[in-house]
Amino acid sequence: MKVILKEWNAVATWHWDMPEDEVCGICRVQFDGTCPTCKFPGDDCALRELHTVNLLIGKCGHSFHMHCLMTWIQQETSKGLCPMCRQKFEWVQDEK
Amino acid sequence: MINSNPLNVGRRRVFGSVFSPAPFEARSSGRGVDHGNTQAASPFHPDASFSTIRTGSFNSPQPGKSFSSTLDRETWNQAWCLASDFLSLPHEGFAEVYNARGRVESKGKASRWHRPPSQEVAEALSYLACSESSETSSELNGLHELLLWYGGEIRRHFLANMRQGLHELFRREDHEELIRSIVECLQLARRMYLTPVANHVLEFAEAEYREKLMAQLQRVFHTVVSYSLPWSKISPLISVVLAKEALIILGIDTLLKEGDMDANDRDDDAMEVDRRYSVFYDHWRNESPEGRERMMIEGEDNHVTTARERLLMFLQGLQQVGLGGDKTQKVFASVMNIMMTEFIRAAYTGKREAPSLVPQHLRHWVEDVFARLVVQVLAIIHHPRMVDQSTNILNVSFSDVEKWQEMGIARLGTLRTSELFDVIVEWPASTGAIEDLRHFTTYPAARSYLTQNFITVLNQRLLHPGASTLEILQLYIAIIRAFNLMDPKGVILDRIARPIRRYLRDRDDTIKVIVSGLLAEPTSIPNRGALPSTHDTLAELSTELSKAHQLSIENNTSELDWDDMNWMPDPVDAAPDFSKSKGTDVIDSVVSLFDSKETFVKELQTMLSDRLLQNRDNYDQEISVLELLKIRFGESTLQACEVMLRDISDSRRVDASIRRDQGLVKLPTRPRPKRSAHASFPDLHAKILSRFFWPTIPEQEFKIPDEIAALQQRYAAGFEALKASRKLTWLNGLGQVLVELKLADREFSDHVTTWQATVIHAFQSDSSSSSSSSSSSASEETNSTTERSISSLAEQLSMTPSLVRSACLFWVGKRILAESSSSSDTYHVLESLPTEEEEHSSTTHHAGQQAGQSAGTNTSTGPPDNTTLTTSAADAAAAAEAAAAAAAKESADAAAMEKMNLYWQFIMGMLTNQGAMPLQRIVMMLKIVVPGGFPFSNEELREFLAGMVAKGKVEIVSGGNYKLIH
Repeated sequence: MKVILKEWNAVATWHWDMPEDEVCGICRVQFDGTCPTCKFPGDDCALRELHTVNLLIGKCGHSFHMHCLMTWIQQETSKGLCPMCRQKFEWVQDEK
Repeated sequence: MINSNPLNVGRRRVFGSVFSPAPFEARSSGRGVDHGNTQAASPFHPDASFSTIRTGSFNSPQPGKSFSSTLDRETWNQAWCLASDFLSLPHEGFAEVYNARGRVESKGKASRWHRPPSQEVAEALSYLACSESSETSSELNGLHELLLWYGGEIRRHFLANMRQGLHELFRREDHEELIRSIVECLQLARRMYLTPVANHVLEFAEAEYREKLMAQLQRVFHTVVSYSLPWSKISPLISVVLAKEALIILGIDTLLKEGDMDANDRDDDAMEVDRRYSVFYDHWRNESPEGRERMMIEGEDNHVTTARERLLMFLQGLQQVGLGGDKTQKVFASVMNIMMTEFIRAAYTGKREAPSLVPQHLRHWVEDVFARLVVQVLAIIHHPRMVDQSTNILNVSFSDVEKWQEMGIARLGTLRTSELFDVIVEWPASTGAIEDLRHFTTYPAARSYLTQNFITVLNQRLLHPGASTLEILQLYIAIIRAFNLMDPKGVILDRIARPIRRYLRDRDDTIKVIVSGLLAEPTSIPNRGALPSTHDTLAELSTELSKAHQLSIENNTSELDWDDMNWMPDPVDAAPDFSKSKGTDVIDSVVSLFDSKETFVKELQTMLSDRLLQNRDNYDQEISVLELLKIRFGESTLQACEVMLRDISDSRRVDASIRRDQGLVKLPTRPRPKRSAHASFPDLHAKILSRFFWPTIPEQEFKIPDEIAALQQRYAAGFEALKASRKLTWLNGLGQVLVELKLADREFSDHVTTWQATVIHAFQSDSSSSSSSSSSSASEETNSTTERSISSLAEQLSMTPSLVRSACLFWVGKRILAESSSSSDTYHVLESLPTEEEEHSSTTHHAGQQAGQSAGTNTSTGPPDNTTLTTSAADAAAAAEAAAAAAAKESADAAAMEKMNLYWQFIMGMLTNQGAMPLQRIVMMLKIVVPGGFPFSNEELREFLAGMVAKGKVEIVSGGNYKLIH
């Protein structure tokens, strides 16, 4: 008998390339979910801006939803500090 | 005025009966005393004449002379004797009357009784007639006196001769004829009594008194008749006759007969006889408005006319012999009461077309047929006193007719209420009946009657375990629609829906049916009127959903619309917590069955995920349903569903671009990548899901075929390249595979699940090239096929044994695999199908051979055609079903065991901390402790614990307590 698999319709789930079950430090929602202002996960509610290489993982090692962090950074009071550790928040430059 | 005082009249009669026929000589002595009391009361009172007798002169026979000094007593006595002798009744018995009854005119008898008066008698009568020299006002004379006596004579004779015979009749005859013969006898007797008076005596009386005297005698007769015939016996007889005739006259008999006939016969009848008179609703309906007016008035059928005549004759007889009057009216009324119900039942049961003209038809019938009969009958059986008044007042006023019509409408409502369940079942073909009910439900009493009645019927016929949830929901939808039409306020619906809703909430699969109905393809839209949802889905709901949306756009009013000039308060029978938003429709009612939207949305998600993961070209239906539901529930509630849909559409795009980038597309122009050296490598498509937005999908981990795994790796790499810093996790348990199997004598190609494909792939012999040669015969095949046991497969694929078994059974069902005869749980490939002889099937021989041949030669694509494998196909189908069921059960069992293991932890903890426990207590504790409730029954837990006992983890100690073994 010869078995030919002509077509394989698989199902997969995606997840951010991050430690499992990590939550955003601001909104406490898992990264694979959406931040409170977004409706759709993934492209719309990204951890990085599309076509840029900036991951929203600070050099301090804390990561956030991009929308959450942008809201924070734009506030005067934030003074550009990481909300978790109060260091200067700098974006990790993606090597790729 | 005094004249009509019945008390005095009655008393006078009593006295008359006692004294009139008494020996004559006693009169003068007793009279004065006895009649003193009633003297002034009656103008007929004989007292006046007595006074003349006592004081007047017997010698002066001339009338007009007032008060002669003496009266010739002798002459008077003589005249009296002659006259009374003439009138005295022969002592003939009842038997003669009864026998004479049959004759057309029993003249002979009558003449024997009523010989014409001789000269002497005539003289005596005329003497008596003017015997009293009355004063100007006195009306009594000897003749009156004589007739009074005669009344007594009638009474005596009747009681002596007739009464006994009549009573015997009751014993002898059957009911049908009895009353008729009684009436005939009485009529004869009446004639016997009254004819001589009417013919010979009255001529001597003054003209103005004749009628009065006659009526007086008549009354005497009536009294004695009603005295001797007990009414309780007579009235049922009368009502039987009345009912029989009324059935014909009112047309009910034809209706009932028609009901028995076939529909065909009826059509023929209607064609042949162009009947102008008919009480049929259908006939009436089909008439033009002018024709309807006339239909029940003109052109009566012959048998109706004769029945009417017969009835009127009969009543005439009753009235004559004194059995008419009030009492008969009462009987008649009760009969007509029954007739109306009967007519409505016979005429309108099952007539439910819209628009309903039943109320109009009923009104017509009441007016033209019913009231007509009543008028005719009441004209005959009137109250006896009305004779005197001789006025021709119509006994039936128009308001009476109206009252009857209202009554009829109410009865119609009762009928409709009793058949309401069937009406609902037939909805929407039965709109007419609902229209009828709308008239009926304007009264609060009627509404509560309807509610009570319908709820009882519902409980009996619908809300029981025998009815499927689908049926109940379908009916509920019909009920909602019907009652919205009947009572736009929705109060009745609110009351009736409560028990249904309560019941539906208790059913587990309600939500499933609803959601699958919502998602179902509204394929049956074109012929919606006929059968909205035929089989197992409630496709009606999805139709309703799209329809309701349009409606809700049109009328967007709410309870809080203060400018609504048509606002009406809720009816009085509304429940305290009743509130109806005007937009309430079927969907709302169905969806609001559940307290929270969450339950609904969760089920919707599950259902949606099932449907979305199927391999289909488009998901337009899902998208449109979701859009419509979003309008109802709001965007945020259905957020997850929206993400799901978006995932699917996104993955299609992503899939295309990844496949392009990774060179997975088989384009002839495109140079093939090196790695895909195979002549054909599988097309790998993927659906990429956002994991938090999909319902948890049971995962089954196993090793997929290597080539697929390799492809998946490339695919994942492609994805990572496309979407930076994102990764894929493959869910191998989901998805579909198009497999093509090349066997020695046939090919097979179908969509199967991934695990089924994996298992069959494992059966592929390592040296697959050898077996692909089509020349391999049945003997070779056994050598070349590989046998695999379930356990080895499970190990090889790291799949659960139950899943492997279920896959194997699936392929057995498809007749690709067969269980080895040597050992169970081992399967081998059925390289070529066994011929019919080998299989112990009982099909016809040559057909089987043919099948074998054609199967051998037919190596073209596709599965073997149907004719070759009729029997085996049936077997296979049955086997596949069984396999699927077995697999489902096994996987369910496995899942249950999985859960049970979790609970085992709880149980262990419990038994450790608290010592030995009985089963009951364990269950109770689990119910309290386990989050989300303990889903298993006592029996299931007992089984599980028995397993644990077998494993030596627990033991049963005294009193059925379970104790942990350390």
